[in-house]
Amino acid sequence: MNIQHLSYFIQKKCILDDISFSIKKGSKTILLGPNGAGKTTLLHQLATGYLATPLSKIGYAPEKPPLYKELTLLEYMRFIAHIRHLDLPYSKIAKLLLLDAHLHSPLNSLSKGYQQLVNILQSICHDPEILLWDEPFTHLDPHHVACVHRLLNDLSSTVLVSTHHLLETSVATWDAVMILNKGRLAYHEPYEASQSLDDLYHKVVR
Amino acid sequence: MMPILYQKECAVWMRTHFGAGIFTGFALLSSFFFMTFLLFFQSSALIGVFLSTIAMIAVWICPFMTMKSFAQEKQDGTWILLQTSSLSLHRVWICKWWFSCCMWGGCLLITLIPIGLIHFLSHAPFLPTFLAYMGLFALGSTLCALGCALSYTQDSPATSGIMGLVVGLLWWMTEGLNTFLHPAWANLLAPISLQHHLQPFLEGQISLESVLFFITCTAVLGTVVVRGKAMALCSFFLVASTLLFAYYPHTISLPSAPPLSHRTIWVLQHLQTPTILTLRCHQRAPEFARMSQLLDQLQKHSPWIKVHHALPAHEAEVLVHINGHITSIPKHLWYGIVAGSTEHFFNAEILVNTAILELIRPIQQWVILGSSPMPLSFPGVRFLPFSISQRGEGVVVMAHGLLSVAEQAYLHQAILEKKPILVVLFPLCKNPVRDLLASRGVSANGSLIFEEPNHLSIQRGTPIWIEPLPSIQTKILSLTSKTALAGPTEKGENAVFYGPFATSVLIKGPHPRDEWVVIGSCDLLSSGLATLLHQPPPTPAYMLGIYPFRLTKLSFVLIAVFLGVVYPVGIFFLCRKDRGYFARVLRTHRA
Repeated sequence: MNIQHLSYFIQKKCILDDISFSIKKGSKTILLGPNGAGKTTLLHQLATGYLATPLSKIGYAPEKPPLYKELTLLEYMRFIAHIRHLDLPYSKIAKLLLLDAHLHSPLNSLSKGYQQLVNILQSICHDPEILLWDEPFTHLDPHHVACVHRLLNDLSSTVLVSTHHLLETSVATWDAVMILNKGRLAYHEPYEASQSLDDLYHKVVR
Repeated sequence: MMPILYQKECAVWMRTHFGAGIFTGFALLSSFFFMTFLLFFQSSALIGVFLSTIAMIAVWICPFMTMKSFAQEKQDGTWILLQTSSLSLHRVWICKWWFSCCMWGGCLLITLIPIGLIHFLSHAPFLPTFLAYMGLFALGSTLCALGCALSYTQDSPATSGIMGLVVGLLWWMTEGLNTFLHPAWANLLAPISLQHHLQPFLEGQISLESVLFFITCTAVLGTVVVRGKAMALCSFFLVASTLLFAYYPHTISLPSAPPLSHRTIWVLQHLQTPTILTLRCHQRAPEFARMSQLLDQLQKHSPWIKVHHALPAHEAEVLVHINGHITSIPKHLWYGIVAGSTEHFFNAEILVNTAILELIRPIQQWVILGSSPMPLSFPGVRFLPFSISQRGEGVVVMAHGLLSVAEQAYLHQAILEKKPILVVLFPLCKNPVRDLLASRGVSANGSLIFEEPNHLSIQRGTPIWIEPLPSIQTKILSLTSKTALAGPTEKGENAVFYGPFATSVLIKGPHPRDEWVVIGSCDLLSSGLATLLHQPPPTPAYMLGIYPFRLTKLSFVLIAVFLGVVYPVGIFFLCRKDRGYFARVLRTHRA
């Protein structure tokens, strides 16, 4: 993933200011930053056509789960599979995220945590080359956070995860850390296991 | 691919109360209007009026059917799923647009019960109604395309719905706006008016120009969403074709108006009575121009005629007032001939002839009753043929089953006075006049033989009653040069004529008796003339109520209860969220 001079404006206000970075294939990068730094905008831009990778090979789990709440989980997964030309083992994937008990439940009857899991599920089900997650740990209980981490470790995709939840992310093995501040890329270095994300964040953002 | 998108759209609609609300609301609204119209129209005229109202409802309801299509996806964030899928945007658009069209089609299906009821009662032909439905579907599809395009530009379904409603209403009102505009602007705007293009369908005709218009609008509005080169190119060609169709006829030189016949000139030279003549042609400018040419000729031949372009030019309505000012003429002398709905303007001279004959009717020997079968369709114009004169020696009845009480009373009087009566019957009418005549012991004898166009001869002693044929179309097609028509033999004998064909024969043919003046309404005239010219008759007359029926109070109440209560409730139960038909279908599909 190679990004060069990405800028983005909303009503003349600069949201992303000349951002350039590259991420190695198959690596997992965490994207940190204070509120309003431009993390969500950056991920959205990457997910909707800025990258050279075809959109069908990008998995994107936005902050707000993109769910058709009138559908059941099974219908939703069938829909996702159809629009991505997939032949999915729904039950297997659902079991991986402990969702198999809710296959026939309408999505609007699921808790926010489960809805978030469905969001993650839809982003990985087509085995994307690039995976973009925006606040994936929101509303998840520790058990599901562990599930997601397990899943993350098993994935071979290039992963970019934006989050505020430093505690939940500390258990994961990251290859790199990016920190956005006021629309600019303030930090982009390989991650060292001995490094505390919390300390690093406060150091850069301050 | 498409079924899953349909299923998703269907689930999004029918698993909320919104879908049931739309269908039930539509059923209630349509039933309300239907019952209201049924109070006033107990004839097949109801079909045209009701379907016109459905068209108006489409403008209100289609934005609500499309407001969720894209805007809801954007609001819920699900748009990103479609964006990052392998689906192309044009497939997504087609799917969503077509689903909205299907929803509108569902609404139209709801109206089939009341329309079917009218057909059952009046035995009106089905083809014009079918074509009217095609037009309504085309209109709804275009409005759905508009709604989808607006929904695509918005993030909020509510905003999208309101915008769709406002733009749709403005578009719909273009026709009304034209009335206030300069003719040049009106001519420019007319081809983009929804009503203008819907009208041929509602009149039971297919207009290629209108079909092209609806397709073009849909394609152009689709381009707003899809924005592909191919789509843009396709839209460009469609727009070019539509413009060519719409404006080209206005720029070429049209054949000039037919010269006035000697008879018309003679009539003009003998005008003696102050009368207002109202001629109204179709809105299109060329026809208006031709009508103006005819009126100029009229002016040349009679110093009493002054063509007065007082009404909005777009209406192409011309007042001819003779021998003074309009306001100075006593009201009981006001009457007119409405020459409307004339798509085929070749009969312009006939219309003028007819109007002139109508002008001199008070000085003729015959009184014509019931020459206006559709007074309701032309507000502001009153037909008072009964009040014109009672000096006639004979009575000609254009019996459409719509004689007023006063006209029927006059007919009674004529029967009592044993005046000669000529009745022109229309085969499919349940005609009270025939019953009236039969009850009074009035019988007919003699016949007319139509040997070749524009030539009539009379044979004595031939039976005159001809049984009504199953349909007017069949009758027209089966007419040959030797077909016998019932008719009068000589003055003083009664006669019965059948069908618009007979009307046109009387008007056009060299009738043996000048004093037998029969005036028909424009639609019947054009039907008859078209028959003479071996062309299919225009259908508006059939849509405008020559198929009357009668309902008892009990039947009316039963229909009102069924359509106003049982029907909407049934539709609600059919569409309800959890256990309705759609919920079951979706559940089955899931299993």
